[in-house]
Amino acid sequence: MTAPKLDRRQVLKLEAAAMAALAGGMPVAAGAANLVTERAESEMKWDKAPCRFCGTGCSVMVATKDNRVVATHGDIKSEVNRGLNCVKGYFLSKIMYGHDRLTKPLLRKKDGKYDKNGDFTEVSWNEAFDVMTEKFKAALKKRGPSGIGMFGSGQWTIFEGYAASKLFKAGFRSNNIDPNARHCMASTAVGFMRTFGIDEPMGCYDDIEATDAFVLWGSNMAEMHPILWTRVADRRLSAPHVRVAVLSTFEHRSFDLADIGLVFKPQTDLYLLNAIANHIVKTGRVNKDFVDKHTLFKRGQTDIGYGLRPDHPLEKKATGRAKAGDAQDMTYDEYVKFVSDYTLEKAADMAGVPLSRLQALAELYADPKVKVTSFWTMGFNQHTRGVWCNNLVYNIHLLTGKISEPGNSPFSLTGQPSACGTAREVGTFSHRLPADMVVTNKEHRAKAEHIWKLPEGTIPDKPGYHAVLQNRMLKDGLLNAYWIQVNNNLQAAANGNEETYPGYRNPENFIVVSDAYPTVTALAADLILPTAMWVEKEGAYGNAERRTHTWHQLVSAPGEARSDLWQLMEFSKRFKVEEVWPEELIAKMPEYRGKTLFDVLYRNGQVDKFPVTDIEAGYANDESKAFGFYVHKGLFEEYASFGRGHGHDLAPYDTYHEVRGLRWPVVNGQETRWRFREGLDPYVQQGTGVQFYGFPDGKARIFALPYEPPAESPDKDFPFWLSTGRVLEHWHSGTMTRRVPELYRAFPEAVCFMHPDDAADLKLRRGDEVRVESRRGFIRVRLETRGRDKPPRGLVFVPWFDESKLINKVTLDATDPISLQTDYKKCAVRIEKVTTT
Amino acid sequence: MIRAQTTIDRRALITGRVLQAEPVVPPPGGEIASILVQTRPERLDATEAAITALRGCEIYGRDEKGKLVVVVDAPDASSLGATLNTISALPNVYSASLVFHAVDADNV
Repeated sequence: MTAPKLDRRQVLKLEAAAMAALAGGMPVAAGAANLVTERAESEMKWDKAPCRFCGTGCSVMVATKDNRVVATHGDIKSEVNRGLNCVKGYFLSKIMYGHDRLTKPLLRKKDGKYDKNGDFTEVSWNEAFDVMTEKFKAALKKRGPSGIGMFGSGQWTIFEGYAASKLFKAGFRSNNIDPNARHCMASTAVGFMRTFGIDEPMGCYDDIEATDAFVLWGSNMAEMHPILWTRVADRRLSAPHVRVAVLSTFEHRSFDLADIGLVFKPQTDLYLLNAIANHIVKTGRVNKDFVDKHTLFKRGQTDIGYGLRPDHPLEKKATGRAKAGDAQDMTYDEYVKFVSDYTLEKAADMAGVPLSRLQALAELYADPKVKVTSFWTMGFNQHTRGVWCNNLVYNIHLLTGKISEPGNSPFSLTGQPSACGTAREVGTFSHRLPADMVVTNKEHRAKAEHIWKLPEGTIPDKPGYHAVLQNRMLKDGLLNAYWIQVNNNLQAAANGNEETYPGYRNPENFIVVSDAYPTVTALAADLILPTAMWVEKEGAYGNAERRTHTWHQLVSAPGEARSDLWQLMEFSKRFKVEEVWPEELIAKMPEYRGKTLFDVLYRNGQVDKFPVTDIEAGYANDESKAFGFYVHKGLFEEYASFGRGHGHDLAPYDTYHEVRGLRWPVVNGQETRWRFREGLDPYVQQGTGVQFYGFPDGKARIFALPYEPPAESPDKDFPFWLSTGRVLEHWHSGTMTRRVPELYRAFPEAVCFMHPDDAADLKLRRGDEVRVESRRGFIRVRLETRGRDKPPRGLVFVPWFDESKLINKVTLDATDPISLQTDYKKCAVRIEKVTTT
Repeated sequence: MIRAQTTIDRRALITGRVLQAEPVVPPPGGEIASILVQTRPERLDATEAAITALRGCEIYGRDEKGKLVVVVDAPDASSLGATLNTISALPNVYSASLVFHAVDADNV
């Protein structure tokens, strides 16, 4: 060896430098280059994994040593993040090592026995499952399948969501299973189904480099999707003609890059969207040929209510409540007449925005030469008219034909790593089955029963309790055994004071929470199951651009923590078919008599088809070892059979371990970047040009939907709008990010952002402790008048990551009546100084 | 560990004293990280000088288009976040993206 031996620290530094240089497209120093090529010989083992956080789906290289994650860097081979990480992804190596990681099941006990009012006591898995089984069986006996339920997640891996959905919908015959994606993107999913008859974006992230204009509708990408934002910023800075429009109810970091910034009054986005459509019509810029060939017009049901409890006065007077999702055919001329009321002038006035800026925005959409990519997240989705907002933005892209081609793209961003892959594609919602099928359709049920080798009539034909309804049913004592995995719903669900907490502590109910850390939800439960996370198990996620990606198990979970998948499958062994199915159903397939749900659902010749020897050499796989077959491959292949040949094709499972994800439909080994366009999507018939094949007639729907007021607006007693949301440093309820020292310190506690003039009027100063109070509850929090978020007068913004300041005690549990998603962006509050006595 | 696993009651929920924001315990040992900085090309020298002056920061690469590769050798976990924030906030810096991160550098 000629070169002097480097010490470990120097090696790491060279490696760090080389990775950054590669990510920046810069030449790598000679010593570092050698080092990278010799990486295989270094003591650390490097593998790819998708980031654990948001729906962007960045790929991260993860280094392990001695069964511990010791280093990470952005994956240069990933098309999504191209070597970069955001601040959260960068600290991924620390999320698993918080000091209060749960390692043993904890059951509330008093005098050695389970007691709802007892203290959490360490128990064995066997005892935990014994008590849990007894409670689930009791609830099933008392109320039938409607007495049990599950609340899952867009952070479940594909396998976990699939196994859970199958266990509940087929095994227990209960559709009372819903993911927390209901809080996050149900409006988007329903919007897609309503306009296109098939879920998920037609475009992909490649639109960013191909477009001329970005329009952000209720999305703070700079903080919530920072890696995509760096791509947007690169595009804007490298192509001077590109424009960025940002719309929100308060000014935030994304406005820094905005050419057109619009801060509008809450709910008036409905007005703005219709006014832009009207502007396109009025100025003769409708793409008539496209509209004639590829669209139909529909008049949507109006006065649809606010998804509150049925006895709420607002629900009693909502005339269209019972048929909220209905729509009638209408003609183009009737549609033109409908939108003619929505002038730019009136919209600017209603929304409180400058007319010139609104005109500039409308022109971006109207000008046939400008390619437009629209991005949106929670501003649209967490909205009592969220489905409408989604439909209305598609209207604009459809009227102009700016869709399904590079750069022209209405694109919903997602908040969770597998909201698309698991919640939507697997169909873990209370009304869905895999591959966009629904429980209410007899053919769909029959197809699922056929693939799952189950007797006809196994899957119930009514949607189960959705997220918000689950809480109400728990409180009312009608849902008695409840299992929560990978989410923190006591912190996340709106009106937690009046709806969530009483249900968890209702003496009639037994609440199980599987989590890696003691969240507030876990602490309000009766049984806590310690859970393996991220690379402690093999996994697969699906990101916002239809990209399915997988990872191997790289380390083992601490103590007795087990993956959600193991928990679900192991629990299923404790139920005999006779205990959960009626005799007439068993009579249709008597061979299942005496078998457990594990045998019927997972040892069915399909899920257990692949031996453990199929697992790639050098990787652990705890579930497969426990069950004796390659669980993940079997579940994936059975699941994939739902979509192959039906526009949802996934590649063979093993392929995903070799690539940085593939965007479905994957046909003949080729991923699909833009759907519905001939030449780009193999499902489009030759000669059609564009085909929205989600509907049998191949046409997308343009909807006439009006402005309707929000469920609650500020008044004399509660004079401020409250909007909630996130900050860059923390992800969702902070369970992981608040255990990373750097992230914790960067934003330790939630604050209330307020306009300085409003603060002055209330005689408040920055840093004062204030009460943020609604009709439902209050929190105490420090006031911030100078931070990164700049609300207009009359609105305050409070992030929800902080478990010591549960803002969702204050929010209202009003939902979109079609998507059943909560509106976390609009309720009325008052702000008062906390006086210390 | 058990201390954190206290149950929460109705009173705790209403008053907001559910769980106090609790300081996290940083892992022992130093950390190594790299940051890709994009600055205004004409201000590259000034930015480079400003970063070099920061504790634990070294420049490992430079591109005239305004890019710098910064390697941070942080003696303890707490200083890394602060360094990143400082660099992000420097005049003329468009972005400071974290690329590589290793914990417990002394023992890896």
